Amino acid sequence: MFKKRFISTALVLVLSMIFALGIQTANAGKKNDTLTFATKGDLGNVDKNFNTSRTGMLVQRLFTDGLLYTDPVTMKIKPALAASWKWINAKLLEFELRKGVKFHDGSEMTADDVVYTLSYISDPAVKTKGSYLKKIDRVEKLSPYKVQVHLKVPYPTMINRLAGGVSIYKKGCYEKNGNLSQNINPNGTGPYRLTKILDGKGFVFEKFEDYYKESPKGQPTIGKIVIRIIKEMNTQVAEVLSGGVDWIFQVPSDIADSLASNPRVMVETGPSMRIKFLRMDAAGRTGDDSPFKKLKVRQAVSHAVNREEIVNQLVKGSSRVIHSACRPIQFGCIQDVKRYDYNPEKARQLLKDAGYPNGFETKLFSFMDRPILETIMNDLAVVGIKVTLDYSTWPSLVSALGKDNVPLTFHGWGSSSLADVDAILPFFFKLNAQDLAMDQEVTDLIKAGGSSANPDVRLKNYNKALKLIAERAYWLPMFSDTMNYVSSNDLEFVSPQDGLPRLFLAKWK
Amino acid sequence: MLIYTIKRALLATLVALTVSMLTFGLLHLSSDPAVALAGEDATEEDIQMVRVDYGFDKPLPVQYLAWLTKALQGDLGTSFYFNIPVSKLLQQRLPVTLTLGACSLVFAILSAVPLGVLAAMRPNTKLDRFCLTLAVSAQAMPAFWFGLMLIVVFCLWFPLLPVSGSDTWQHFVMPTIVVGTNAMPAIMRLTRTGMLDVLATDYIRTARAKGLRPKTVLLKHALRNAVIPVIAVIGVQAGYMMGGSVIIETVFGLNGLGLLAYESIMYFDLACMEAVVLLLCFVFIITTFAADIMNAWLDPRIRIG
Amino acid sequence: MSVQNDTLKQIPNDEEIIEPTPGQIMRTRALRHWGLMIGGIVLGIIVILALAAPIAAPHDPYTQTLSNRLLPPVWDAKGSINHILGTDQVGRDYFSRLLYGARISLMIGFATVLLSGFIGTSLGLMAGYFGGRVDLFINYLITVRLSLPGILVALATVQLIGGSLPVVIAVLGFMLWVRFAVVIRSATMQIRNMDYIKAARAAGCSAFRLIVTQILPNVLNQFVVIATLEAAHAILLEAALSFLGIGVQPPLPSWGLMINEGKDYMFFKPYLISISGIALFCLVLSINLVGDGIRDVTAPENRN
Repeated sequence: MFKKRFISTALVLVLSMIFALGIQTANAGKKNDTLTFATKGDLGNVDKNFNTSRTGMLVQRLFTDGLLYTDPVTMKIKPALAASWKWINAKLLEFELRKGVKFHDGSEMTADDVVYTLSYISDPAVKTKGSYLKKIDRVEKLSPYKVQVHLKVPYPTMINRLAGGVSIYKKGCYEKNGNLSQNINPNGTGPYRLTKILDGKGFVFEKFEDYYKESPKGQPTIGKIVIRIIKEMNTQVAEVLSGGVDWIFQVPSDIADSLASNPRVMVETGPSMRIKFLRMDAAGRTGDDSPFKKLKVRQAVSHAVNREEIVNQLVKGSSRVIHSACRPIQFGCIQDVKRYDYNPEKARQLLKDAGYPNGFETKLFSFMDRPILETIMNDLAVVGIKVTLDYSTWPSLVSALGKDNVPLTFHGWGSSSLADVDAILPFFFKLNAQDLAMDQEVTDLIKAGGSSANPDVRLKNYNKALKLIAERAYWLPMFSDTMNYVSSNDLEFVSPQDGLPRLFLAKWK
Repeated sequence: MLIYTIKRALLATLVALTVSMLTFGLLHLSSDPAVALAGEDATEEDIQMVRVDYGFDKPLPVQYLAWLTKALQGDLGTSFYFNIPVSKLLQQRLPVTLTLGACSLVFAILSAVPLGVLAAMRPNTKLDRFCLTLAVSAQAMPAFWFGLMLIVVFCLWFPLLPVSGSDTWQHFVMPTIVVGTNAMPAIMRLTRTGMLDVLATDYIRTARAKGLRPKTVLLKHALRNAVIPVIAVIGVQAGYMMGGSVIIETVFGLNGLGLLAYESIMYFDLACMEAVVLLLCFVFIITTFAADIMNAWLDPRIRIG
Repeated sequence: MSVQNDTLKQIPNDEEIIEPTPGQIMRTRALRHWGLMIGGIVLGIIVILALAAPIAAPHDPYTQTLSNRLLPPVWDAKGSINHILGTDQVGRDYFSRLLYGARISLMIGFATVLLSGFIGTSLGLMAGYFGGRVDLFINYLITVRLSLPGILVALATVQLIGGSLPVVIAVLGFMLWVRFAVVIRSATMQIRNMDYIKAARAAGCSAFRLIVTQILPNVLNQFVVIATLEAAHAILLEAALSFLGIGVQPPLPSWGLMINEGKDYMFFKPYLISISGIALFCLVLSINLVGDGIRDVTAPENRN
């Protein structure tokens, strides 16, 4: 009898303890001065130098600063940790560092930290993401507040790169196990301190009180920022509607439209640096009989897809049809190229001329936007091109490209939020496994455009390259993407040109 | 009993080895890990370098042996994507999944066993049919749909529960219901069957004839015997629950082992994939092993025969 | 049924008792079995609709009209009779897709069971008939397969090979054979020890012949029961794979894929996900009911 009573008492105790521990009010929102943001992607490594994910860019811009900073609205480059910069020659950059900038541990940032970080990540033996880092030859300290960066080759967009996502860390931070892995609390100079990594669930940031006053990022106002990883968009929407999350992005336009009239939340639509496009196997890598080797077939495809309708009906928001292989806001991205209007009749005629009066069968590789893929497949079927879909992931696509298996692929490219065609063209026209065109002329032009310090020379070369790409119909550039945000009514934020939320600029109303 | 236990343990080890070999072979044969590892702007030479670096160019059995030796020493390799040791990742993600698994199992048992007993007490009545209908319906319900529906009801219409996350016990309420409901029918059917079998046996009739209270007969004599096959199926269900929680973890943002598995599949994170599959397999082997031993202990016929 | 009732009523009066044939008994049981009847009717309707899809569908299930996308169903104020269940995210008629989707879902269930049934039954028959080492080995195979976290392995394989209808069927087929093997094995064991089989064996009948002509027909009941349950299971698993985006590929209209496509609209256009969800629910439920029913009717002593 005693035993029984003991057990039941224990049970009640345990249960009440669980309840007591469990009862916590939702802590998102203005009331608690905590901005909770949700994103789909998890992050392997908080160090942007070792990942390419969007979540990584969000996190990195919160807790670190770079030498330079790109204004998210004007896309102008501004000095950040560096007070000023200048090109000494095409291969040599000089930075005057700002004085009195503090790391989160209280120590001052000096030339030593800059030299250390840049030397480490540009070391060819270190497996960072992004080959541009390896264009740095060496970094030299001239004085405690002056450094010079020597490049291996002329590379004018290094400025944009350094303003985009290259953070400066404390000297010695990589010593422990080669990278700023999740275990070590990373020590940055950014407006927020990364105070907690919730393994697999998210990140907690707190306002950094000693943030340098001259920062182009301005001063942080919100006390605490939580980034939560929620894979399922429906769950994100439910969270933002129920007040568990204050801000979400990458919301599909249909959902954003439906939420527009909901008084509980605010919907905003902005641009994105991402563009989406179809690439065709013009080089005949899938075989000599590949229909896409024929210019007329590629032109037929370009005329067959109704991009206007896809933009107006499916993508919506700020999306626009594009005609050249880049995002119009990017430096060098002209739209004055050969245009292909929607004309299925003409497409059929072109196919006939190319020797495919009955069309042909082919395979489309992709890993995103099923409704758009289905529309493309339907449009192509109308002119006689029967397409089957191979839907997987980016690594699978890369793997298939490596095996010369890809006749046709649709996907996007975000240019790492960089407003320069150098962030997109050299990647796809490099005569390598990614290159489906294999056009020496185009590749040379792009190379010439990327290695000159003279903006006019750059423009001229990119101009020619983009015109050739359009004329020879290597790509069908489809549209610039849209970025939809849904947020709590209390929140005020800047809608950036590149579609990457700057959490540190958010304010409570 | 000891001999039986040793025999079972040996079999379990053999099974674990085979499974690890199968998973390793399957994953390595059907993908090119080097491509994913080398990253987005890797050239053909880079990829070849990665291949040599990680030993992907060696024959599969050699790779497997190397991996196995390390795994046995507790080194499951480093996750390509997360950049930290896989064992650490598992440590981070396992608690959520285990909590969810345990809660759902308790929920499933607490709802299934009483229903099964009720149904068996009055076979072929409305009550019985109701219980069976419940079981069949629970079986036919797509889990993700059920989960999202619960969110609509309990978070948007009646804001009682948090939508997603794993910080408090409230976060586990809805996922537990969904996963538990999924496991309930099998347990309920077996309880009902077991009870019907046992109730028809002579000794229950004897017990009843002796004038024992029906409740005593039911709970003390019948249920105890009926529960033997149920324990076996609970072992199996516990294993399934861990592996099958991928979808539920996505819906409720639980970020446990299931989601880790899904992500590693998506990112071609081979080391991680192998480790998760293997871990789940071990959990399964251990739970079934435990169930076997428990049954042998409950029923002497098993360990002799 | 009436005939039989009459027969039964006559029994006390007649001198020679006419016993109902086993077939008649079964028919009576079947007709009295509420679950089997409901399940059978629902399943029958679905099968008929699936077969009649080319005639019954008001529109082509693949024709897209982007400007007509996401039209509401007929019961909505803005709905029209032209599209009874509205249109989907690229403007295809939802009702027509549902009908054609029934074909795909049924095919997945059927083809998967064909494959898994073949594997499982062969293994079960061998294990049960030969016993000894063969049995031990096949038991071992069963344990190994049970220990593999099925959905994850399916996920990984489909993802690595690339999702398509044949791949999904093959992967599910290689996953779901266990129950066949287990049940057929024990059933075969019972039959093997019957006298007539022993006699046939003594008379020098070949094992293959015996299995095919004597044992197989006798385990057919069990096979059908497991087949229905596993078909339902396969259909649900395909839906789960498609929900994660790696099952059957568009534009094929599988119900699982339709649920996946409707997922994004579930808070705002809940009918999109509900219609296909309910259809899937009904299909799986009816198959399960039929399976349970067949078991009850053919072997009431195993009603357990």
